[in-house]
Amino acid sequence: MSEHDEGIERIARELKRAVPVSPDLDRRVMARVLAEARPARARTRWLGMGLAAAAALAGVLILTRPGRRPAGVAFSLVAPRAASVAVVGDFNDWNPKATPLARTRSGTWEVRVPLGPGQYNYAFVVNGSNWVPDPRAPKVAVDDFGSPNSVITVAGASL
Amino acid sequence: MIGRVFVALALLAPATALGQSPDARLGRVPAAVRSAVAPVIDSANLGGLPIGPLIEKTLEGSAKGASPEAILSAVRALAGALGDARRSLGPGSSPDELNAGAVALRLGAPTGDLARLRAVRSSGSLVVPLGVLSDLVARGVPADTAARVVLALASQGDDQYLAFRQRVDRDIDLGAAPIGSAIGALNSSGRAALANPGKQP
Repeated sequence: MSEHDEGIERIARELKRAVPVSPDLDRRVMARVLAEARPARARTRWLGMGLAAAAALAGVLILTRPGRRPAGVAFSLVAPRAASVAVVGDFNDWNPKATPLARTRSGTWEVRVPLGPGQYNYAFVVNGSNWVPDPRAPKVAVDDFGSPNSVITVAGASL
Repeated sequence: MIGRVFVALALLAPATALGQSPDARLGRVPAAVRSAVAPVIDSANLGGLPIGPLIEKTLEGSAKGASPEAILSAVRALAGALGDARRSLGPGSSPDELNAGAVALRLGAPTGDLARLRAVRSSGSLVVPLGVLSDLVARGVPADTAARVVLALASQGDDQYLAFRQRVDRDIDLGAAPIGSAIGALNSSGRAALANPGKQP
């Protein structure tokens, strides 16, 4: 056996040798870990409470502002061959001229409508005369006029 | 002062008597439709029911080119449902609650479940729970099951209702049966409440 091999063997023996460990090492390590973690948890908790308070304050400011309207509900329809798309519903007196959608490059038509809390029936009017429900939303089960509507429920703190 | 009020009322009365609605939005619909629905809307107004949904139903029918008879039939049905909703939900209900309740009733929700929902959520609005009920029915969940599920969640907030509906939507989109999705999306406490609808968990 060369001197080099003997050295490696000695290192291996040292690594395999049992190290005397204090019987309460686990307890002391965990105590230290918990002591380190506690301030971090406290900081996270205070940060969370601060964010929650800020969000609540922002909500109150928005909700109590006169004439408050939420940011809006996005309506979209994929209709690359359509010449025009409008959304009609309870929120705009079913007026096809009130809320036209804008076409994107991909052929999706989009609009954002400010809606207060409540339940709304709506549909899309394609090319001025073709009524279609929103394929991504549930359809109203009661169809009074042979042209089904979609339905959306908007939640809000003022409900 | 009182005399002026009487004069104003006297000037307004003939307009209503001639079937002209006080809501200017009805000016957009054909005269035949307007005169057909005016008595129903006036009657609802006198009865203290919200007339907004009736006007919107008229405008919807007119925009879709429905006949005056079809529009009148739909407006009558909605007015009746609004009255039923008020009886179930109570006279102090908001117009939005009555409208949502009327939609739920027209979908087949039991009146007793609406009354129980009001009893459990006496201090909060019912617009979102009733809206979720309608959404569930629209997704294919039977009305009585949807009503019971919504009732089982009555102690939850509006956000939880909407999150629940999204879970049902997702499950149905993934191919699950609507009724199984609705019941499956309930958590364990919700399932327990489903056994005793109307009771606080």
